[in-house]
This record gives sequence, C-alpha cells and structure tokens, in this order.
Amino acid sequence: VIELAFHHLGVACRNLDAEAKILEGLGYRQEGPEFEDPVQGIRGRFLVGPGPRLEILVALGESKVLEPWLRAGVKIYHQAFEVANLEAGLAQLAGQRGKVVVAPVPAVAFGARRICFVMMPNLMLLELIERW
Amino acid sequence: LSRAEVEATIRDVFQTVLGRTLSPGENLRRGDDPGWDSLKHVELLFAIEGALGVQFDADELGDLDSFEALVRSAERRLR
Repeated sequence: VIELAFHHLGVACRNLDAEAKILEGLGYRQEGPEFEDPVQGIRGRFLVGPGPRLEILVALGESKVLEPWLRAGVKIYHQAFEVANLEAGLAQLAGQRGKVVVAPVPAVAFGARRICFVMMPNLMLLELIERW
Repeated sequence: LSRAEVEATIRDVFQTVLGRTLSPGENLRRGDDPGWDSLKHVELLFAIEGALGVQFDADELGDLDSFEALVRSAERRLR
C-alpha cells in the first residue's frame, strides 16, 4: 500500500474574499500567495487554521470545472494527499477501480509539481500531489 | 444478458443518476443534457459498472458520451 500524506481539502466557492472572510472568522489565515492555474481553470488560496488545511477555489474566467459541485451544493469536494511516486499512487487507486479524471499535470499551486485527480467508486474525489 | 436487458439496465441507471426517463430507442447524448456534467458522467459509469458487473477502460471514458456508446461498450465487456 502506498503511503499517502494528507495535504488539504478542496473547497469550491464563487467568491474567494467572501469565503476567506468567513473562514478567517473561524481562525483560519492565508498560507502563501493567491495563485491562478489556467490549466486547471481555477484561482485559489490555501488557508490554515484550527482545522485541516483548506484550498479555496473559484473558477477562472469561463471555466466550468467547479460548476458540477457548486450546482450540487457541495463545498468540500476533494481531498488531497502527497505521494512519493505519482505513478505508483495512480496504479494503486486504479486497482481499487478509481477513474483518472485529470491525468498528471504540473500545477501552479505546487511549484510545478505534478498533480492528478482520481474519482473513486464511492464518488470521493482524490487529488494526488507528487512529493519532491 | 441480451442487448435489450443491457439497454433496460442502463436506462434504469440514467433514471437513477440523471433523473431522466429514456424511451426505448432514444439515444441521449451528453451534449444534449446540461445535467450530464463531468461529475454525473463518472457517477453514471460507476453505476453502470455496478449494475452490470463490467469495468470500462480508463482510456475510453471520454468516448462514452451517449447512451448508445455506453450500451455498446458494456455489451462488448459482457461477451
């Protein structure tokens, strides 16, 4: 079994400032600069605080990547883990019938480290982040 | 399973996942229904896999974009 290290929960929203303000009221604070990833079609911030690290995200431009979740009223829509070997991680999740919905791609939010997204049969969306 | 049984099973899945009743012979395409988004697409695939005991290939997921394509692929895996 590959070793996963929890990194964050992904939170879909429509307004970063409004989302951050509410979370700051709970004791969260921004970690690092805001980022834009045209490949993923998102803009976001990391927040840390009394709970798990959060990645709050809005769609970039005309991107519809978050729309299915927002329309369904789902806020926390993925959990992300770092993994030493991305391909080995993918293989393990595929062996559990996971489906790759975003193939490995460098991500702005992680300094061009590769990420990928896999949907599991229980409809839990996992993000794997390559550890350098 | 006969083709008719495969079609009926997948029609039931569409009803459950998309809340949409398909008539026999109707070939709904993904682009025809705004509710058939990327999330619902994966949910459909998992539900069909569970209902029929098949598993779709990772590299064909994007091509399974109509009722007919899903039926054909499921049938192929049941042979």
